[in-house]
Amino acid sequence: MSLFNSFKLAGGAMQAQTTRLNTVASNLANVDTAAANPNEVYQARKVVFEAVLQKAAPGKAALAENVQVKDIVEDKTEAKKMFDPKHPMADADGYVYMPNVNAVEEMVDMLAASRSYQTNAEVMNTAKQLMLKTLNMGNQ
Amino acid sequence: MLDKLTDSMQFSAEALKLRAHRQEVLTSNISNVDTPNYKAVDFDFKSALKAATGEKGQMSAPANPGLGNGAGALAVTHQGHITGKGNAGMTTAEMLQFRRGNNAAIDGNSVDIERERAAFAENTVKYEAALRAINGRISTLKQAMGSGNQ
Repeated sequence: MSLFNSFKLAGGAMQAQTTRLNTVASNLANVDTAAANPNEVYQARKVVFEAVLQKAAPGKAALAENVQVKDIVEDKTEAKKMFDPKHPMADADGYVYMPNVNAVEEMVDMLAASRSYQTNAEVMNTAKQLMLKTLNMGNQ
Repeated sequence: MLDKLTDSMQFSAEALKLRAHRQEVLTSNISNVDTPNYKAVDFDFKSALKAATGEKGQMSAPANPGLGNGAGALAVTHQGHITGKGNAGMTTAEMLQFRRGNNAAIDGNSVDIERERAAFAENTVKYEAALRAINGRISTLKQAMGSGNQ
C-alpha cells in the first residue's frame, strides 16, 4: 500500500537529516580544536544524501524508495594558520592550525536540516491521519 | 445486484487509490529535497484517473486493461513519431514524469520545496474528499438497505 511507503520514505529522510544534524554538531564542537600541524587538524565534515530509486526503465522518472546517507566527506580546504607563539600547540615557528569549519555555514546547515526534519515529520503525521481515516471508512 | 453496488463506488475507489499513490510520489519529492541529482517527479492525475477507470459507462464492463479508451494518446505531428495507445493500461509507475519548469540547483536537485508542500497539502485535502465521497456512498446505500425496517 502506497501510504505505508510514505512512512518508510519519511522515516529514512528523518534518519538522514539526523545524521546531518550530528555532523553539524561535530563540526561546531570542533570549531576551536587547534592542532600543531596541518595534517592533524580537524576537517569539516559534510553528509551526502542518496535516493534509493524504485526500478524503472533507464531515463524514465522513478520514485524514491528510501533516502540514505551515501557518504560523509571531509572538507579539503586548507586549515586556518594562526600566529600565536604562546599557544601550547604552537609549532617551532609559532603557528597553530585551526579547523576549516565555518561556524556561520554550519548554523545555516543546522537550520536547513531541522526544517527538513520537521517537514518529514509532518508528512509522516499526515500519512498517519489519512490512514486512520481510511480505516474508519463506512463506520460513520 | 452486489456487482452494481461495488461498481457504483468504483470511480471513487480508483480516485482514492491514485490519490494515495500521488501522496507517495510527493513524499518522495519532499524527502529528497537535499539529495544531489534527485529530480522531482509527479504524474498527471486527470489522465491517470481516466486510464484507471476507462470511459464512463464502461465502468461495469469487465476489466480489460489492454483495450482502454486510450486517454492521452500520442498526437502524430511528424512522420518520425510513433503512435501510442496513450495511457490506457499503463501502470501509475509508467505514468511518472519529471516535473518541468523549475531549475535544478547546483547539485542537480530539482525539488522546489514550496511547490511540493503546496501540492502535498492539496493532495491531502483531495484524498479526504475522495474518502468522503465513498463514505457518503456507503451511508446512502446503508440507508436504502435499512429503510424497510423503520
